[in-house]
Amino acid sequence: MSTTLTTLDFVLLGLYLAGTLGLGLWIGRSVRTGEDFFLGGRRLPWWAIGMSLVATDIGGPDIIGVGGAAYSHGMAVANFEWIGCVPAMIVGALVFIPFFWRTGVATIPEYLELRFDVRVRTALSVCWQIFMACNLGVMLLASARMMSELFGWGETSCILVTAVLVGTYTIVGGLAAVVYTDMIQCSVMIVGCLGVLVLGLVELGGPAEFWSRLEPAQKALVLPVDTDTPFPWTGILFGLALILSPAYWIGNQAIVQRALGAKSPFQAQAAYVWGAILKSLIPVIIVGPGLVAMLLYPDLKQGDHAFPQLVAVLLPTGLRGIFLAAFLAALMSSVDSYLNSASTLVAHDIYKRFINRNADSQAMLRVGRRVTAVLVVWAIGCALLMARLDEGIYTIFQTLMSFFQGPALAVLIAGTLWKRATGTGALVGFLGGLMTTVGQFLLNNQTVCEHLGLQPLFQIEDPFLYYSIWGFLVSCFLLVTVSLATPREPAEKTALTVLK
Amino acid sequence: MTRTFLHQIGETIRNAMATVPLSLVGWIFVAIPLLLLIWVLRAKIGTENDELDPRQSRWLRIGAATALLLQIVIYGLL
Repeated sequence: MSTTLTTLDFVLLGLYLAGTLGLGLWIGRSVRTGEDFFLGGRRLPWWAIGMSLVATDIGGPDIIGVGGAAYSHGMAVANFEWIGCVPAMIVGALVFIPFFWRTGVATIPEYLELRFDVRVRTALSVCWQIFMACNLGVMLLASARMMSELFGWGETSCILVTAVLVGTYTIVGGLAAVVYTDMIQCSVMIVGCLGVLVLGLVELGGPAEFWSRLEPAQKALVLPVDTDTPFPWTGILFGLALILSPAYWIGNQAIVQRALGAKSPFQAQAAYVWGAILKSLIPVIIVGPGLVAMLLYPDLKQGDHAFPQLVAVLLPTGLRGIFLAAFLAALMSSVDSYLNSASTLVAHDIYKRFINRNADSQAMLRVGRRVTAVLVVWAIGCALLMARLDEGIYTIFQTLMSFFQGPALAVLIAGTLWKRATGTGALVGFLGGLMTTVGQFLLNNQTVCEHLGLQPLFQIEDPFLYYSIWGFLVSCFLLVTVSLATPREPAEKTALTVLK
Repeated sequence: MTRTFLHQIGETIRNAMATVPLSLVGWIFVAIPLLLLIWVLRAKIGTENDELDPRQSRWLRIGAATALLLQIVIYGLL
């Protein structure tokens, strides 16, 4: 399904890309120190950070994928934006974010060394670095495949153009460039998707007609345990709302880093609250079009064709260019954030911690830029390599990457709330939880199960929400048991690193 | 295909969860933002060392309450 673009579409797209690149490079003129590069000089305002949080969270593949999931499974996918985001963002805003800001750290693993020890910091940091490095390639490839399918462009060209464009302004402008370009990208994304939704609703005869034609099951947010979708209420409540979502909004470096770059704790808190309000509205523009497509084109072979079908049929010249800009905006806002955060982790948790403890601000700036450049090349190579492999490979990568979120949350919560938690307890809990999630994945893998003659462990299609629950619980159990069996951390260590 | 004790544990939990009425689950989804809303309205925002002035605290409270109210309305209606 390929969509034809006209000159006007290309002009609008070109204007968007030139504007984004120009803004990023212009911001880069004021980047002079490592703190400017990694934390925007701690001068970022709440309104820009809030929009950046939303833009980072929604990647290009998410727009197509979430719309596709709504087409296939109904509105339950909106839980990922609502109960799967808003409560954790509010708790993060009022409890954790101002606390992390005041510790003065640049990375979450750095906080874990202040609270526990260097082993816990390194274990978490390495996991995040591997996750981000792989995810960069995955995001580039998944988006290139969609652009190739939507517009008939070559996959390799899409990967190269996107990576070079995003890499250029991220290398020059650091976090400030990422946040301010994200703000534009968030606006473009909302306008583009809203355009698709409005035209779809007009085609259907208006919002009232749209709502009346949906079946009750398609409108349901709470689905039974034995649903044939990946969204049973148990997974949504226990896996998503209580574990993955807090792990993401409180412990994901790419997310928390921009709050650490805020002007003050209040600005960081306000950014999260503003992001939570925006998040409440996002499903309308992403899930909505999927539901519209379900009513207009009920015979599509795959849910992921829902958005492209609407774009191809409903959007007039000019609006297609805006939608493509919106799609690229969503992709770029995620890639730039992961590039900047991965380089922050490498520079702070590896270079400054182990290689050059006396690195000054200029040295950190140079390292940050070089690491970002290396990551761009890595992401391109990774995406091109994965493009040659079986499609299942990068799906497995994505699943593997989500394994450590439950254990990481257990360590972070225990560290911030429980004085008695010790470094050894945290390390054992984290590694034990990680082994649990990997073990579950293996015991659910078809090839492994056939080899061992076992029934798969889970009965739903993609049980990553359940992996996180068990990973978190095992981590908590081990962390508490080992902490109680090991000597307390010194009082001076916990005085400023545990919430009162 | 063999089943292990892990399958038995999973099956037991799954069966237990399947007995919970969906209407009750729907109320749990409303109760989470509702309880958070009550906490937001009652909690002391900021600490003794905090530079938050009362106006900033009020704005944070209003913003957080708005986000949570939207969730209550969404899960209450759908």
